[in-house]
Amino acid sequence: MKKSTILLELIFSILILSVVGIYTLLFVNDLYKSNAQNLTLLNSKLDLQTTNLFIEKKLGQSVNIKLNSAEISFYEIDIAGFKSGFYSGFVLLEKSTKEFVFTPNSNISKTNNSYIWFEDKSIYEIEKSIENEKISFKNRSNPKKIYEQYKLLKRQSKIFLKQNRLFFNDTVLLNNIKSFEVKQSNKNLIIDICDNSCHNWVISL
Amino acid sequence: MLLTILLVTTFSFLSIYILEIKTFQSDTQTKNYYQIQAAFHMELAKNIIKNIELNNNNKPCIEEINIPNENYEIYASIRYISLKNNCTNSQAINLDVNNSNGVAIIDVYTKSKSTHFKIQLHERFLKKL
Repeated sequence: MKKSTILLELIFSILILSVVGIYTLLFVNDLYKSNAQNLTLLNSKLDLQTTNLFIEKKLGQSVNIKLNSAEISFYEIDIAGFKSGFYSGFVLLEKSTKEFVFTPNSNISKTNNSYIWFEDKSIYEIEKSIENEKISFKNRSNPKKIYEQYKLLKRQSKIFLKQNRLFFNDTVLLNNIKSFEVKQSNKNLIIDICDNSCHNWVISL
Repeated sequence: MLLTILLVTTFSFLSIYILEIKTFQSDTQTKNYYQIQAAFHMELAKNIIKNIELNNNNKPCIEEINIPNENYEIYASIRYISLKNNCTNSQAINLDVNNSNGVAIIDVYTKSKSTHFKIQLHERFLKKL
């Protein structure tokens, strides 16, 4: 075979391989880009889902939930203290007064809460107690309605939008949020939240 | 030859990357499914327990409840703050029976039986006796 034919074949082979190589690299690049985009979308979706679950959990463990158009305020129940047995949630009515409630089977000195909530939805401020079975009210002279079951509340918390960031008290939950609107429909809380796309969360209260 | 090696290597890395994303996606969806199902089972268990008569004098004290299920381990342990003094988990107190019979403190646990997706839920609530 002539040298020129071999050279021509070699040039054609290199040309074909180069074209195949270029198209393959373009295809690989597209595949990489679309998957990288998928991952970004998935992460963003997960961030939103996690925030939805977080808000749902917080509200599920709260009382006295109040809504403003772009703000949710609520009182957080001390679930950890209750589950750890630091307070029983049961009041012995005959031993309680308007100054304090007597709660058997409790370790009140181990708790650090600010409010007490009763079944009729009334909330009273409480003092730090050193007695294990007594919860003392802050405003002792005022008359109070005391019920048999109660919950201790840690603090009043807020979820709100400020400068395109969604906050839970001082903590940032989500960045780049364009709008956050809250409304109530029957026993459901409806949250409309928008980042690059809009989402509608329905939370049962 | 070099080009073939380059292409095989690039495709291998890309395949691993794509598989990682797909696994992550599938893993998240399955975890979500298990979590939602566990919450439903927990609600069901709570409803069953709320409808059980715990203050029945003619029957033995209920201190543990097991709800058989194929995918989840569901059980509850019950303690009492009441006049009951025949139960092991009971704190008998002086109650004015005209006001109250006391309460049962109920701990409900739901655990998934899956070896890969560990979901454990615990809830405590009071039930008037």
